[in-house]
Amino acid sequence: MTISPPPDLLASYRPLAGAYDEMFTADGRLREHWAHAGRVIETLGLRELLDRRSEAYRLLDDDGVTYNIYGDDPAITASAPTIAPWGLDPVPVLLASDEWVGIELGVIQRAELLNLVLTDLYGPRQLLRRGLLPAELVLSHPGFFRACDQIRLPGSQQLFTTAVDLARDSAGNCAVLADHTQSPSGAGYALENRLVVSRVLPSLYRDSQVHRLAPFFRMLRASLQELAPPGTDDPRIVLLSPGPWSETAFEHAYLASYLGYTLVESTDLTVRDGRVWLRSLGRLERVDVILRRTDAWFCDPLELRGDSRLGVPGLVEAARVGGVSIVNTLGSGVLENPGLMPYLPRLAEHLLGEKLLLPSVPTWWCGDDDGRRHVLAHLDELVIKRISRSAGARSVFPWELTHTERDDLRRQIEAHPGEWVGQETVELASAPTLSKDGLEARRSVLRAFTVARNDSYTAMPGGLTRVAGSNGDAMAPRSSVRISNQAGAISKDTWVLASEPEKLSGFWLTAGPPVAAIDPEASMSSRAAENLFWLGRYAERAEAMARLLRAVHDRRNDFQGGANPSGTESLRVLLAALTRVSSTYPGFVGDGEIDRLAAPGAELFALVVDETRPGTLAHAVHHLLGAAHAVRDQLSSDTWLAVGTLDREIRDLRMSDPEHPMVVQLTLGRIMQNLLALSGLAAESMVRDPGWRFMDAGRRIERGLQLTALLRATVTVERSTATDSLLLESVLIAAESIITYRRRYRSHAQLETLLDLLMMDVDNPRSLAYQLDQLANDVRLMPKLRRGAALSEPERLVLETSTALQLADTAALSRPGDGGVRPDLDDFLARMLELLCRTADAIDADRFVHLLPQSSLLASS
Amino acid sequence: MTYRVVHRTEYRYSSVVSASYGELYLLPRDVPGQVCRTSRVVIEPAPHDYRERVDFYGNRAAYFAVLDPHTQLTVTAESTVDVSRPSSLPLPVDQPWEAIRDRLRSDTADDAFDAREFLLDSPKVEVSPAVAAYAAESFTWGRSLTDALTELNSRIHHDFAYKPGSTSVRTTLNELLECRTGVCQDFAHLTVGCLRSVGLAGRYVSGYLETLPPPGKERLVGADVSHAWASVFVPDAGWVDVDPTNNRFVSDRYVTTACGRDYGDVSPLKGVIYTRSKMNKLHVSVDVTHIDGTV
Repeated sequence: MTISPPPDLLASYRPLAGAYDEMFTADGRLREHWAHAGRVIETLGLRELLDRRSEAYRLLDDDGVTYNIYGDDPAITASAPTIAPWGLDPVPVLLASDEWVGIELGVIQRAELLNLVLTDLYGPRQLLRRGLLPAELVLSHPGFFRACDQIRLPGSQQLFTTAVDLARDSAGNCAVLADHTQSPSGAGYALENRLVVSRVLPSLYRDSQVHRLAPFFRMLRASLQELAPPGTDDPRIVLLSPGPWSETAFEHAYLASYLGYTLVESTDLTVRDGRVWLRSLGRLERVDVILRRTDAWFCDPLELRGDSRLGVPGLVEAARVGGVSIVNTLGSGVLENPGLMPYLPRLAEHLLGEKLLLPSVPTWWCGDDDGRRHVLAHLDELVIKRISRSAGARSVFPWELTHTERDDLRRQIEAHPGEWVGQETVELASAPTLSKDGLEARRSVLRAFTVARNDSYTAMPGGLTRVAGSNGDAMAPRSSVRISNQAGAISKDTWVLASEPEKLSGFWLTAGPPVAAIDPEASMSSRAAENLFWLGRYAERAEAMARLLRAVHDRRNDFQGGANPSGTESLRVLLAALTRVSSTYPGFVGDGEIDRLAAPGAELFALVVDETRPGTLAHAVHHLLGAAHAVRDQLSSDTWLAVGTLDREIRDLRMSDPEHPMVVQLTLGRIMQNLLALSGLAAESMVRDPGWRFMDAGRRIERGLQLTALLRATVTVERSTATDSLLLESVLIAAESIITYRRRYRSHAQLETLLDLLMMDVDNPRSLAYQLDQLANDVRLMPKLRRGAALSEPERLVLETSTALQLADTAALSRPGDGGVRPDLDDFLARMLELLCRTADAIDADRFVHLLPQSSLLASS
Repeated sequence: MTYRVVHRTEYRYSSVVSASYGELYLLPRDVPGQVCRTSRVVIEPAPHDYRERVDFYGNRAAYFAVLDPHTQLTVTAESTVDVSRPSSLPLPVDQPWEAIRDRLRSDTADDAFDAREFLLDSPKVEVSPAVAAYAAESFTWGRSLTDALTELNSRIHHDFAYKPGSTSVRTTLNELLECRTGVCQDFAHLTVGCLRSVGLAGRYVSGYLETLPPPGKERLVGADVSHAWASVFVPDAGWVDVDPTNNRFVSDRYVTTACGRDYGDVSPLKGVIYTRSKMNKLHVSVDVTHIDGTV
């Protein structure tokens, strides 16, 4: 094999013919503002850049940056999405300072204009009455919510944030492809991109004088603060997300923790007294401002979409009476209408007295006679879109259709012209993107962001650039408009180069009197507490299962198929114990047990990898991750370092050979490492706030249950001394107490001393007594739903369990009765199990808010 | 004429409902020829929140939230309404319907602007080719609006059987044209769709009929439930109401509650509840009585 010399990256770069290229001029010269970056790229070379890209992906993976991909509308289909890693190309797009000023002025003016349009449409509607906008274009748009008429935010701006997708034509001029006003996404991803690229290309970043993004988010925070209903001193702000499975769930949690707001889902909120309240632990906490990331249609099942399960009934009413400020406003989606584009130049002159600085890509609304004639006459050259994305259907590219399909489209447009627009195609600009062979020119679109500030808008200096996922798209003529994450696009950081070093302003550190801290109980929703409780339980369940599986695998290596009867017998008991502890019947205890005991490989493999079967390791890991995703904003980002690879371990193992025990053993080892890192984080990096108490209680209960179930499945029957010595050893290994036991009791293994160490010893962090001690502390310090001096039900149950344990006589319990069985021990362990289960149920009933299922009031006629 | 309207809706559940949130359109609005004198809504159990407002179309809506656990919910609306509708139709209705259609497009008055919204499709009234074809039979060239409307009304009355339970709030106009049975809401939707299909502004009206007919007059269909009909806009004259269910123009035996694009804008009572109850029973009673003298 010959190794060709690394290509000269810049010399071998081929901009697309006819398109503007971000890096090179049409006559093949490096653009001036790329001079430094060009040198750095050349110096680094392909191999090093590819290494940096791997590093970027590792960082994104460690931070758990994902994008969820759906086939259909996530609010309607119950199916879970495909969790895709976030794609990032390490080579940034550079924008010169003067170039950016033009874009910035344009996007700010556009935001101001759209704000005035929005204010009018939910106010006097003069634009419609005076014919400046066709009434049909607005009144037929599904994003125009009559229920939200006349609702106003405090202050002059009704439009809080905007995003625009910008395309550069072949001359390098920017035009708007689409406006995003519903709940613009991407700003958080842009921030994460910056973090990663500045880490993998540190010296390039440092030397380039790049405008920072943080000030934009400080503006956003300051503006949100001012949106609180009048008379609110210290407004409570929450970020409303549809949940961990929404497309941009990562961004919701990331922004919530970056901005310091509580991440909520609709079930965390309730409306009463014309205000919105957070169901926090044990009480209702007022919410003043909602940063909305749930599409407005779904936000209120009473007044908006009746079938929504992502809404809060009464939310529109609360906004109407001014009890809460929701941004973007519930009706803001009316501006996400490409049919408005042809009217914007006229509206800019009328409303602002200015020319529109940033044009839209030429667009025709078919509800207008001339517009329709133009679109139908040029059907083959235009991209056909609906005026509302809620109407379903994506953009149509008529040149890709068959004759029949095109005729059908024509008929649809003629039948309901007002629902359609035609938009010119743009020869999108290209940006240098890393591939394994060098730099490739890929079509790119820039999403720019603004936020309301001081009666105008501030633009994020930079934005989210997305390039086509492969250069196949770039070669096909005119298909360049399909650059979306759902279509596999990857992102790039976007650097606006400052002409002079930036002055730092608006620091996080502030002078003045100390600010009162937010009470942690008030900022945590009951749902978050419940998820943390389950996070603790599943983490411990996974750990216990991994330990037990490892102990079983060790014994199997020793004795499987061997001639040692005691060894075979101890393995049989352990396999049965595995089934009993994990409740994965029939397994090694029911139908088909004989075959499975003879060849346990397949079942043992399934107990690791089958996530659809409750009780397996994969099932516990799956639910552990689900709970972690749901409380992502509460966890340190290092958490993903610990658990981020868990499901990949299991997925990889699932693909491998089940009859290769070494592979399973190695995987179990790595899973243990991750789980131990997670419990280390919980012990060393989490504040002992109410959330921690719930997580720890979950852990303690689960560890108690696992241990007790294991003892009950192994030592309640006396077997031969040889078998029992092997068995006791395995139990001590699975219970992570073998070293202490050996040190303490040397070679004299006895059940009584084993029970002393595993049940009674309050200093052994693996003993039942220790779990109950910790649990007593946790339940005492947990916030309660009901206040009162008497012990709560969980406290009472923990006390009862712990008392029963302390009164137990291990010597008596260990003594075998008739036929070698130990009925007293069995009864005792069964009682412990029952009490622990009841404690878990009591915490659930006593500490978490449970909503009954939502349904509709029957329609009366 | 003065009427006392009592509209009572009762829900019974087989297990507890932790909270009910509702929106009601049960309070009669004022329209030309109708003034609502008094009205009140009683909700049991007592709601934690109750607020009335005027909606986008000028209707009276109310929001309520019952936040105490309950297994039964009753909403009773009681109003007194003076009705004095003209006994004859307004004059411009005798013009050809095309003239009225064209005047609506060019009329710059505020009420005409507002009416033009009712030319557009709405969620429950989509003008399909089948609807347009049904309407075209009555809206022939040069015919007066009165004649066209009278005939359309009578065709719907004869072509469709009144049969409660045969349709739901989700029935489309095309399905209705297929099955030929329905209730007043369906007939009102169809009339509205026919009007829109020929370029006239059609709106949906919810309201009531006098329960017991005056001596010598027949009892009208739909008198003991809430009723619905359609309305067409005539520039300079205003909205003219027709009742396809009873094949007549709306007289002073009718009380209007609310108007909208279709049922979805003005459904009398809708809501969201939290419960495991599977057996939900609904009972509605409407009583509209003519009262003499002052109230």
